[in-house]
Amino acid sequence: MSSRPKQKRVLSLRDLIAGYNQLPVISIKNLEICSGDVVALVGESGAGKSTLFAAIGGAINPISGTLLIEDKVQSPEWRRLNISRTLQAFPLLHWLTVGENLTLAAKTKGVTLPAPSSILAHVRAEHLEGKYVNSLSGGERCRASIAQAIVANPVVLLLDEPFNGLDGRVKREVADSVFKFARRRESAVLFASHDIGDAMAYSNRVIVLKTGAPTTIGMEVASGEFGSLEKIYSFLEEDGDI
Amino acid sequence: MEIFSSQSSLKIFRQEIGRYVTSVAVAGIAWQITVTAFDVPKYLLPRPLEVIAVLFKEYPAFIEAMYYTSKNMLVGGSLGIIAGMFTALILASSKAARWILEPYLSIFQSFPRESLLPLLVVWIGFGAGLKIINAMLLAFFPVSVISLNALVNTRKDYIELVKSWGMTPQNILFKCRLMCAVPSIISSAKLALPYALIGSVLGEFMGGNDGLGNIIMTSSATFRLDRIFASILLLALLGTLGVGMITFFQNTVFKRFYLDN
Repeated sequence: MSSRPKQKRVLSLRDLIAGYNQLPVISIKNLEICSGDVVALVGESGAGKSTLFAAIGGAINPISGTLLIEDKVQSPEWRRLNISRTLQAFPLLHWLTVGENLTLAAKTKGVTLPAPSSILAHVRAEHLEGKYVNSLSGGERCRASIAQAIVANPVVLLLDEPFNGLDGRVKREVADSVFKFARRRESAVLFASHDIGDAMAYSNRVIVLKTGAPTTIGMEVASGEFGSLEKIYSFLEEDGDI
Repeated sequence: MEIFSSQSSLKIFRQEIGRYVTSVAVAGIAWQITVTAFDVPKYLLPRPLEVIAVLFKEYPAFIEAMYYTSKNMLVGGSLGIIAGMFTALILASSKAARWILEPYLSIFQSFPRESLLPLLVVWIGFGAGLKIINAMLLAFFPVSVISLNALVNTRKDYIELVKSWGMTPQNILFKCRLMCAVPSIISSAKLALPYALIGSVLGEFMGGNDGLGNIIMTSSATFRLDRIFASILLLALLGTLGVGMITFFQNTVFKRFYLDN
């Protein structure tokens, strides 16, 4: 899963510090993600992955630093439309069907949705359109959640623990769909995981976080690179995480 | 709609009616046998058959009284439920409004609202207005308190989700918080309707010439316990039908709002 040529820089974080109530949770010195990239962010629970996603997605304001998307500081409206998130455990509004969730998401974002099934097709989940959320399996919820995140064709897609609780086959199918979407749309995908195996299998770059106060980037490897898994384990061993 | 085409709700409704009728019939038979066996004087405890007999004998008066009481219960209860929801929405929409007005809810919850009844008599007299306003007052508080609690304690992940879509606070209130609060609002309405019935009957106790409460008061003075029990039976029927009606809507129209839908 190597990077393709002619990638454009989509997301750049420089000296970014994010946290709550002015208390830094995560600090990113320099991180760049290009179009078509699927980058895994690995760290233990509470390391600050969700906080970083909240800052990139605009749910919270960074304490300091620069966040550029397509090399520009974008307005909150632009970010709302072009950066999408899935949340941990894939919440969707349970009184609506999957199709109705997608329609509401699109309407709220101000985009015209031709038909929910056209979005669901990206994640091979057209059959879920009329189903209520509570009747979905874990894998179906994951697909539906990713579908609500891509209704507006986002430039940056943030997936928070997307593979949690899914079996291997479903993980592979979901990952394939996300990769295809990222390539077709030339989006950048950043997914958080606490599982190194998932991160290596379903991304083309892995960023390992070093937990601290605040959390920082510990190391970065290309998933397909020879010996990358050993490098990660060596790093974690030195860091005392294993 | 799909929910109406389902026969299961109607089937459950019919089964519930059967269960209630059987339960009451068993108690009635036990009561009839006990009172007859111990020869209890009817001015202390009438026989169920006498209660049924008076219901049939004086049915025009009972139907008229039941209509009057149920009308006041439904009008007052509905107004109380609507006002309670409206108040909860206003308080949930603004922290400032909540800061100023929430203490009133606590204060009015802390004493029996029935103590306001003599004041209402002075202000609006003994007419239907008294019963309706009292029913409304009693129905209002459970709905406002329970709904407000549900509206401000919406699941955090839902709020985070709709915020990630860019939903405005006003839309979050109506399209997410209110929808999430539907089960709590239904539960509060189930509490409120019997309260409205109590409010209506208490108003009838205070004065006027109509309603089942009035029959109870006048029959008490003449030791007509059969008429009192007949009125109580009809009041129980009214309350049960009211709650049953809400339960029916809960299981049909509002079913999708329940997590186990």
